[in-house]
Amino acid sequence: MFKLAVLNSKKLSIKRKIFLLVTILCFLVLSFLFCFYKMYDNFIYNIYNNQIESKIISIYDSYKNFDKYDNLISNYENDNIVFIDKMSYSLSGFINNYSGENFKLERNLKGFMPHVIMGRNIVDNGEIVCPKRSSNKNFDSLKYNELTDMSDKLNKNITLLFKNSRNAEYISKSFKLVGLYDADLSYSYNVCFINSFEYEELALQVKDNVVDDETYVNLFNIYVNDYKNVNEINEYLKDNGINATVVEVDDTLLNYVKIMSYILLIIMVIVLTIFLLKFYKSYYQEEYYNIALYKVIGFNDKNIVKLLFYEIEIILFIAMIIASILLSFIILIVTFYLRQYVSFRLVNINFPFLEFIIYYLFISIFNYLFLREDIKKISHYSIKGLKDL
Amino acid sequence: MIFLKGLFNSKNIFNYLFNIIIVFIILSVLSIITYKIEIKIDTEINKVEYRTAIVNAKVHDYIINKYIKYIDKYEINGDVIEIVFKNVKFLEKFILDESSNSNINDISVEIGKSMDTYKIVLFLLKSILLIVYIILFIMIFIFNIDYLNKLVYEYKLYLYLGYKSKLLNYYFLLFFIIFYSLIYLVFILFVYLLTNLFAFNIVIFICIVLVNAFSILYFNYLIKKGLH
Repeated sequence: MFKLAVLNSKKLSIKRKIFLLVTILCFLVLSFLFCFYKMYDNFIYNIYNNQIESKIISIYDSYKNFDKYDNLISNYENDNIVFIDKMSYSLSGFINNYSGENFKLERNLKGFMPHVIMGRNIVDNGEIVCPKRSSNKNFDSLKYNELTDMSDKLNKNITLLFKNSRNAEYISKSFKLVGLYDADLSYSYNVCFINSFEYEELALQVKDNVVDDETYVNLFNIYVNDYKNVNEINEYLKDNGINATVVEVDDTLLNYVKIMSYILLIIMVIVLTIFLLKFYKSYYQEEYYNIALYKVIGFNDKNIVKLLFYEIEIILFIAMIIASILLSFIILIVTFYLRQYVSFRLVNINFPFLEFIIYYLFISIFNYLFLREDIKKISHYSIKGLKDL
Repeated sequence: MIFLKGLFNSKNIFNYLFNIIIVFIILSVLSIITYKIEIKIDTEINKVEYRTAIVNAKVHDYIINKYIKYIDKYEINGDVIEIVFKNVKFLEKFILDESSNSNINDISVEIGKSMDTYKIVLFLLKSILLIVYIILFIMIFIFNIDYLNKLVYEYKLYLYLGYKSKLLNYYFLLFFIIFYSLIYLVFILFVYLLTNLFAFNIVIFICIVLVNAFSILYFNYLIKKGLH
């Protein structure tokens, strides 16, 4: 039966070509929607999980009150707080000259440092991990190749200059660049990481006298293991009369677009399935003349169902393959274009392979069921009656 | 009556018609969701804080008079004017034009969120819309050819009776244009009632007319070649 279906399908009539084209386009529409939904899901996940700032709660106060906060945090029986920072969240280190390009230095805390992709992690003092591509310009509309490539500086020394907050003098410090990380996920193209203990020593040198000055407002930073737990700790602080600041990810628009893409996907899956099933129905309704012929030469209903099902399956399969090739090609071009820009680096368009297969199976099953029902309906027709349908 | 005869005694015709209606439903849903997302993005970009410029200038009147049609409201506090523009684009234009003006000491603005990722969404949705429009044109073509095939004997009869094929084609074209215009009108009304969006697109309408014309020409070609 399959061989006969293949033989029939080899005759690529205009009707079959049109059916193939429409099926390819329908598959493309669906795959675009799957890409759209997956892309946003992925995008939101990355924003929540890779933006370090959203996992830090800050209290602005003079250093004398920090003991009170320490006690409060020690009474909070929860593993969600991973680190308390009483110095400052980051330090600015200038490269080469005092007013030019600078790096923000942060601690190499677990869960707050991106994955190193070249070289190794920090194990000792005097070591630094920087982004593979760096820049401290505004990232919007900045091209990726405009960022400075740090690969050639790996295992070499970098000297940074830190401005003392009180006497405005510069402190020079050399670090060995031991590792590079991908800053695309966190958009931290000007953030480097150093050993946490070394960071504290450096912060004391740069911000000397800060600890003793009661009028100086400092930062008491609470590092939380997950952004989901930030609210809980913030509520605890509020209950104890402390007003803390949290960098919130403004996700209203992101979630709106995600929900819209989800609704659109569901509606389109339903409507396009109805459309394709109806479309295939009109395909085999035009085959009634052939069905009459098959009946004459002794085919039973089961065989006819199988034959028509295989014919439709061949069209579906070829359409899926062509749509996959086209989609891969489109994704490749779009990704290549978008990867040039820094602001699109977080956008990841994946081929919806699993969704493709599931939808293909889903539509095939429905096709088979509808086909069986329809052939059952016309099985009692005479051959002449079938021909006239 | 020849034009309407094709609507009778044909299950396939109604299958194709049903498919065209489904495509129009898909278009409605897509248009509505694209419009909603566009509106949301536009609101987000044009929040008051993102279209406000705090300008420290020596001469206020010059700035106000020059940009009055772009300004939503303004407030003067000594040397500083707080200008709220009607749109972020006007603010960008203002910064571009006036950044080198010697009368202005300083312009400070709040940089809005990057909307680049949302532009991809709109690009994706518009690509989907384009594909669905192509499907619609194919469906119209199939429907027309099938419809005309059902009328081939009547068509030939009219030719024998002395009617010119040009005239018959013209009437067929008119019939199809009226028929699809009605469906398109329902689609526009449906979208308008749900979102107040006037979804009429002249290019799409012209494309529908052209597809109809092409299908009639193709039908004539089939008749000439005896392939109908």
